[in-house]
Order: sequence, then structure tokens, then C-alpha cells
Amino acid sequence: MELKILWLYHDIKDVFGDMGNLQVLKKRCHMRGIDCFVTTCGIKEEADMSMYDLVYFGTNITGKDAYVLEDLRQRKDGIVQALNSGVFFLLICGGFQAFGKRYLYEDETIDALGVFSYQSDYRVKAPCIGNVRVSSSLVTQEIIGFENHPYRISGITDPLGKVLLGKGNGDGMTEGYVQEHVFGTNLHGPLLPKNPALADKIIELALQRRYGDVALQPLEDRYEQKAREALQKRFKIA
Amino acid sequence: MRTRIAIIAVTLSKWLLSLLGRGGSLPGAIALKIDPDFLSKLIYPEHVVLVSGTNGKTTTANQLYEVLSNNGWKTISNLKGDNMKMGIVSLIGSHTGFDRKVRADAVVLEIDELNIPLVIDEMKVSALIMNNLFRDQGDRLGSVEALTKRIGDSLRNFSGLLVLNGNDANVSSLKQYAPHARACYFGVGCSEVSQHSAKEAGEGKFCPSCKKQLSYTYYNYAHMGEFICPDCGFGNFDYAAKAENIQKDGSFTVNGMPFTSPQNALYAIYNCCAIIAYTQSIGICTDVIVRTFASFEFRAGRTETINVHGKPVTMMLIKNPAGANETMKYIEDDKEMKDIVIIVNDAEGDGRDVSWYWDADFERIMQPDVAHIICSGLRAYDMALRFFYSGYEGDLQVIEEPSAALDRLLEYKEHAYVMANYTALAPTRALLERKAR
Repeated sequence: MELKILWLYHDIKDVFGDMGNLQVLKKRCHMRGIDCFVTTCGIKEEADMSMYDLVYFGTNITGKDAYVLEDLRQRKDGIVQALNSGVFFLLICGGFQAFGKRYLYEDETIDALGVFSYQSDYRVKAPCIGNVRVSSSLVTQEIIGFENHPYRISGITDPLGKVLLGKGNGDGMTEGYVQEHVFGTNLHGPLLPKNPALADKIIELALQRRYGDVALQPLEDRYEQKAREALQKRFKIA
Repeated sequence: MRTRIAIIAVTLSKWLLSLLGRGGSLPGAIALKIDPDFLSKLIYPEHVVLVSGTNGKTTTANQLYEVLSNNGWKTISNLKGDNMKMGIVSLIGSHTGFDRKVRADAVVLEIDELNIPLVIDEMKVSALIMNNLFRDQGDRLGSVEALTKRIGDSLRNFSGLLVLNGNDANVSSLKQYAPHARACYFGVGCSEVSQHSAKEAGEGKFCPSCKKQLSYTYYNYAHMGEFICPDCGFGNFDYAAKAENIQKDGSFTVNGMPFTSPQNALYAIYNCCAIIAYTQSIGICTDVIVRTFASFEFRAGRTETINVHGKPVTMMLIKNPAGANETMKYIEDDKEMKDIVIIVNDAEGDGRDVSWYWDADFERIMQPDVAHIICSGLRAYDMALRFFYSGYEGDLQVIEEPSAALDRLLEYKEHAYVMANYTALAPTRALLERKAR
């Protein structure tokens, strides 16, 4: 079995631990004997997204990064085609916003890619910063993450989960966005090292198109559990 | 009258604290309580220079202080890095006479980036040296672009000299915000260690003016390099000081004159060039600068070695990706077998966002010559995950309690390194000093 990942815009603002999410997906595949390949696709580079099992789009680009958005818009047909053919999309922060309808600023409104109907609203008073806990029916484990975003996401119909701590999409109620083969989230830091169950869910969904339902064998997750416990202990005190 | 009472209060409280063997920013806090406009009421000497930037502020300010002192000027400076407004008020207040005159020929102030807007219009600042802007404590400062704008917006009325790193796109864009200021630029030329592509660059990819992608001729470290915007021409500055002919021993030339940096790392040469650009602009003779660089010694702090019963332990500060990468280059240069303790917290002063663990190039120490890596501190397991998932093949341990982690390190026979982040550094030094007794 193999998992082919396309990392979109690895060359733009590679901050907030995007690379970590990819290393987690890769290592968790390897530990189960699944080959995992990560191909990068930078600005102006060509890639046929339908050829991949998973497209990863992170970074912290915003509506003001016209140069990247321009490049992204030219890929829209390929993206829609890949989505329709069951390629899994993992969208984090900048990527999550970019797939929405538009960005709302005090002084202007900028069109995003428009694949989904939610929008990023930058007309907020205070940024959302801090640790986040989310409960999602998709994963057995509570999702623990970190958020640091000066916008709220409005118009979400299908959230990834319910917020137990933090602001999530901005209202303190819901976090992220989900479709059958799409996860979008505001959580970075990176998200996956401390959320092995979520990482495995993503791998399973990404393998589905070519291999059907795959049951991944459980891993030890020693450091992961300890890292989660250390934070959960703190959440209890607070 | 208020100002005078405040002057007395600072002087007295600072003296009392010094009797207790303490320093800090409390006297400044008292002064500002008594007179909130304290800083704007004083009479300043001709040279009041702010030194800022994400990395290297303390070293650059200390080094500049010595140049000015060696020039025969009575210079005052917050040498220990009390770099918030309160700390600055403490320093200046305790050197101010009853006539409101600051008793010094020159004032060198290391200043936190976000504190620049709080003082720049209040004091008579003659120059602002800005070294670099990296992602750091992301949750406190916001993105580098937002930080640049905040600093820039505070420079609208500034009419002094901006001494800017011309190899840092965000820093060099500060002139655009300051119509009344003069600007001079410093930089470091291409050398053997320069790269043609940047694998560590998080910032500086887009033109601050027109947002198009910048084109770089070379990178020195992180995103520091010579760039130009193919669209609007931003970049390629006329340098007041540009290091050339850079040698491995830290020697280099500026406009044909030879200098030697106190440290051979490129970031140290940037610090030197900032000082050369500034001090030459105020007419200080080259001899004084060369002599100061040659005799400069680093104060306790960012990198130091403590001898624990015959075992040297080298301790280093890591607080953001760019700084951590430079620190790890230093460790990499040691080709012997090594053990490393990494102590990381996520307290207020560190920034709560730990994502930078993944943006820093820790792969540099995931090498066969690193026998043990011990992760410690409040975020020990997050750091352990960094090494676990990135394929470190040596012995990885987690000992959350720093004292026990250091004890384990002292049991091993290899060269010992300790990397600690901001709030972990001082307690770690205290622990090592206690163990050394």
C-alpha cells in the first residue's frame, strides 16, 4: 500500500509547523509498512492533484497575499476535479481560509478560491490565541491544538467538532470544517503530533479512494499520550 | 515638580534595591506612577540610540556601549537587557540630575520591539538601529509583517537616523514609514557560507511595498541576504557598511578597512556592521571600533560554559527558529560525541505557541555524533515528539524536571550542551551553578 501526498505551497511562509504535520503522516504510515511519498508544489509549479491521495495546504497566507491567491485561482479546475474524484484535502489555517468564499477586511473584501461557502472575517476586535480542545464525532480522541488567528470563520455548516476550550472558528462553539474527504481547521502548532487518532483518521480517509476501508493497526503512541496528559492536567487546574 | 519627585523616587528605590543586590524595572514603574510623562520632561544628550530587532539586541547594544565608552564618552546603557519601557525609565531616571538633565554623553538603549512605539516620541532619540525581524513569540508579537507595520507606524514623526539591515526585507522597509527620518543601511556580502537557496527562511519572501516575490542573489542565514523586487526595484541599497572578504576567523573588511568580529558567526558580523554604520555616521574613528571589537567579551547569558566538577557544560539560549538554528550551528561545529539537554517552557515570556519547535531546524542535532537528547521543562513531551517524528536515532529521553535532567547529563561522558528557552534559562544557570559548588 502507498500514500501519495502533495504539499501545496511548501515554499510560502513555511511557519507554524506545517512540516510537522507531514512528518507525522509519513512516519505513521511507515510504521505500518505503508509507503508514503511527499511531493512539493510551489508557486508556479505544475501538479496534477488528481494523481495524489492527499493534498496538504497549510501556511498562514491571508487575503492580502495577492501573489499566492492569483496562483491558487489558476488551479481551481484541478482542485475541483480532485475533490470530485475523492482526493483527501487537509486544509490548515491559510489553506483553510483560502478555500472559503471571501476574506472580509475593514477596508475591502477579497475573493478567496470559493470552493466552499464560509468566509474569513478579519473585522474582529481581538485575535483568538491559546490552547484549544475540540470534541469531534469523527475521532475517538479529543483534539488538542493551538490557535493563533486574527479572524473568525463565519458561515460554517459542517464543523469538524465542538469547541470545549478556546475560540475555534471564532464563536467558541465550533471548530473547523468537514466534508467527506476534506478537513479544514484553524489549529496549527503542528496539529497532528499530539493527535494520533486524528492523524490515523486522515490516513484512513486518504487511502479510501484506492484501497477502500483500511483498518490501521494500533501504535504504541508513548510520547503522544504523555504530551496529551501533560496538557490535560493543566486544563483541569485552569 | 512631579518630575523631580519621580527622579528622587527612582534614585532612591534603585539605590535600595542595589543594597539588596537586585536590579530590575521597579524604580521605573514607581517613576511612571508619579509622573506618567516622565520621559518627555527630561533633557537628553545629543546621542540617544535605540537598539532593537528580534535577535542580537543585547550583544549589539553591549558592544556599542563599549565603543562609545572607549571613545571617551560617558555612556549609560541597560546592559543587562531590561529592555521594556519601565527598565529604560529606571536606567535613565537614576542618571538624571535635579535639573532634569540626563548625566551622560551618550545613551545606548536595548529595546524590545513592541516598546519602541511607547518611547520613540517621548524621548529625544537620535538614532534607531534595527537588526532583524524574525518570527518570535508569535502569539505576543503577531506576524512579522504586522510587527513591522506597528513599529513603522510609530516612526511617522521620527526625525533621527534609521540604521537598517539592508539584508532584511521587513527591516529595510521601515524607511517607507518615516518621511522625516534619514536612513543608512548595513549588510553582509556573499561569502563561502552563503547559500543560493534558503531552507530556513520563514520571512522576507515578498516585497513589503508591492507584495511581489523578491529575488535573492544569496542568503547568509535564515532570510538574511541581498534581494531586489523585480517589479518595483525595492532592495539593493547603498550600504554605509557592508562586510566583505569574510574569513573563517571572523575577520572582514568594510570599505577596505579590516575588522574582526568578536565571534565568527555571520549574525555576529551583522551586529558589527550595524555598529560600524552607526558609529561612523557620528564621526567615531575606526581605530576605536577595531580596538573594541578585539577586546569585547560576552557577558553572562546567552552562551556560556559552566564547569561542574571538571565537566564543562555549555549553556545556550534558544527562543525562536532563527536563534535556535544559529545555536545549533555552533553545536554542529563540535565534531566530538555530544549529549544535549533541551529545556523548554511555554510561560508568558516564552510565548504560548510552541509551533516554532517544528520551524527550527532541529535536524541539525539529529546526528550520529549526538548520543543522548534529553527533553525537559513544561513542554518536554512536545519537544520529544519533534525528535521522535523526525527520525532521531540516538537515545531520546524525557525528564520533565530540569534538575534531574541535568543530573542525567552530568552522568554521561560526552561533551555536554544545554539549550534552554527564555524562562528556562535563568533557573537552569542557577541549577548548574549550585551543582558546581
